[in-house]
Amino acid sequence: MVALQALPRVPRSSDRVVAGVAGGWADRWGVEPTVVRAAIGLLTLAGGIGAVLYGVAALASAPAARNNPERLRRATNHRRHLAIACGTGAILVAARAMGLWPGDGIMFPAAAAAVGTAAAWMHGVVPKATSSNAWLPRFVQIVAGVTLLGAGVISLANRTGGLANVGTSTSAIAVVVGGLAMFGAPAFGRVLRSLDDERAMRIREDERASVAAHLHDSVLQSLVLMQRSDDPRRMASLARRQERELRAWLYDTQLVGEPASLHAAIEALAIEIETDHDVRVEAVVVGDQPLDAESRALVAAIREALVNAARHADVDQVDVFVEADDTELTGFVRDTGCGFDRAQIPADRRGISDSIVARVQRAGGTAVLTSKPGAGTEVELRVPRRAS
Amino acid sequence: MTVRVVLVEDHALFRAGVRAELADPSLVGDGVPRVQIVGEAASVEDGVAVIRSLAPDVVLLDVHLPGGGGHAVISALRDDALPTRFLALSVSDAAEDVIAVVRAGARGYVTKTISAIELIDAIERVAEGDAVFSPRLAGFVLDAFSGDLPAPADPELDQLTSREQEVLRLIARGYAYKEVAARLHLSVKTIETHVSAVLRKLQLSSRHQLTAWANERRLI
Repeated sequence: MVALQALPRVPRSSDRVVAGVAGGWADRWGVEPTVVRAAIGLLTLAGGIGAVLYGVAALASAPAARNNPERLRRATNHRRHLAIACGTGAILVAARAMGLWPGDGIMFPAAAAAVGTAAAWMHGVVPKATSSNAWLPRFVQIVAGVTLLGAGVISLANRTGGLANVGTSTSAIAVVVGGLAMFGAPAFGRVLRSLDDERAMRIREDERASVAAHLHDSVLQSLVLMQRSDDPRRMASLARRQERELRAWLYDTQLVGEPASLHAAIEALAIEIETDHDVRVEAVVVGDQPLDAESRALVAAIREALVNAARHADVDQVDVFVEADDTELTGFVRDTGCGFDRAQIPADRRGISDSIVARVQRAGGTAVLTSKPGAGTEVELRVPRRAS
Repeated sequence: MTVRVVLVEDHALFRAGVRAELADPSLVGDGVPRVQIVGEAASVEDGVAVIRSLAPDVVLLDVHLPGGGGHAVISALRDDALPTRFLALSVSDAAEDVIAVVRAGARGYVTKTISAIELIDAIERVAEGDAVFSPRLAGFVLDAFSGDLPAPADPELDQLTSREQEVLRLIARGYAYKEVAARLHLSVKTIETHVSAVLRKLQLSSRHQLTAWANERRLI
């Protein structure tokens, strides 16, 4: 494994036939993947050298970079194609000398088939819409490649057919299917890739349509409402509500329907209070957790405190601060309004004692209310988190 | 002394609003305006040019700007050695954008819903070199510095002291510096020292949590 770590970590390609190793090296070298694949296939016939190389390269490879399917292919360099061909040829000569050789009768047709495949696919058959006057050399190249491939496959079939009085038909079929696969795999890969591109395009269009629909239903409607409104306070509250909704939508905070987390619940509550009571709610939330019995109790108590502040404190703004850590949930609702003396509250007004204090106590927590006439009010809520 | 301010903000309506509010005669003390807008710009490029030529005391800087965002303005001027200080001003944006501007060197962050009088206070405080933490920024910072890490690279920088946390929590609850000071039986100067220390930590901390935290949010 030490030797493996010395090898460069070449990322595998998402344009793959087996594991994307050949594609990865083709990208790195700036050659057609088919050329690398043909070389590996041919070397595999010679005593399995190709398979061993492939295995080593696969172990040393890095995972494919998934997030850029439309990666730029490096410009292909024909000298490098030639270099790979020469390298493969050299290894084959060495293999032949060492006896790693299934026989000239198999290897020569196989080499012809490999060279044919590589030649036919070097530029790809699904052409990009580029200048059309380059079609003739490409056509010649493809015809030459296919001819070479066909000759190789036929002579291989001939050879194996001659050998085999045992299971002639199966080996012939295997050779033909193998030849077709060699020829067809890159085309298939390209078709798949263009399908992928098409799908990505469709997703983008859907996305754009849904953005447009959302903006129409939300921002545009609010703007129309604001144009028709004469009351500056109402305009401000519309604008603020729209701003919050838009931000929640942009940053994917869940506001639609039942909020799923404490943070989302507090944001939703702030919007609700702002809309219903014409007061600004500055909500700051630190940490988050899924809504459970304790956090629901906290949110309900905060709602009551906010409503009290909005109704009685005579202020433009109320601050809410909620913090969730591992051991407890804390919530603060603060206004700098008129304040009050709790002793003066009639005993039949149950808002504070029932909706705030008792509710938090049922959840195992405490509520402390601090208020001085003229100096504002702060409600402090603490609920321990159940050990989970 | 009048603080000279440049406003970098891409919404013309908002610029006009700030200009009108800061010029409100009821906020002028002793006949000398406390704050004066000497220049405006609507993009990163214009902002950099205007700030270079005017060298204002304070720049009110929008977090989101065409051409790279508020932090790009601060970064572009880093080598100019101007006496200028930056105050980020924005609708309450996503945390990572705000943190990026503050980490680039802004002395604080206030939301656009701030009242004119609070904005003038904030501008003067920034001009004197103090840090300005709105409740929302305090919340962002508490969030960014929370969570357990095995061993911070530099504990001096990568953690908040309990007193600093206490101060930030009170700011997040909506307390003004004066009220924080009264509540903790400290002087306003001491509170300013704590807040400046937090700002320094935010800007210098190597804490990988800050980056991880911001990245995590950006992915949403």
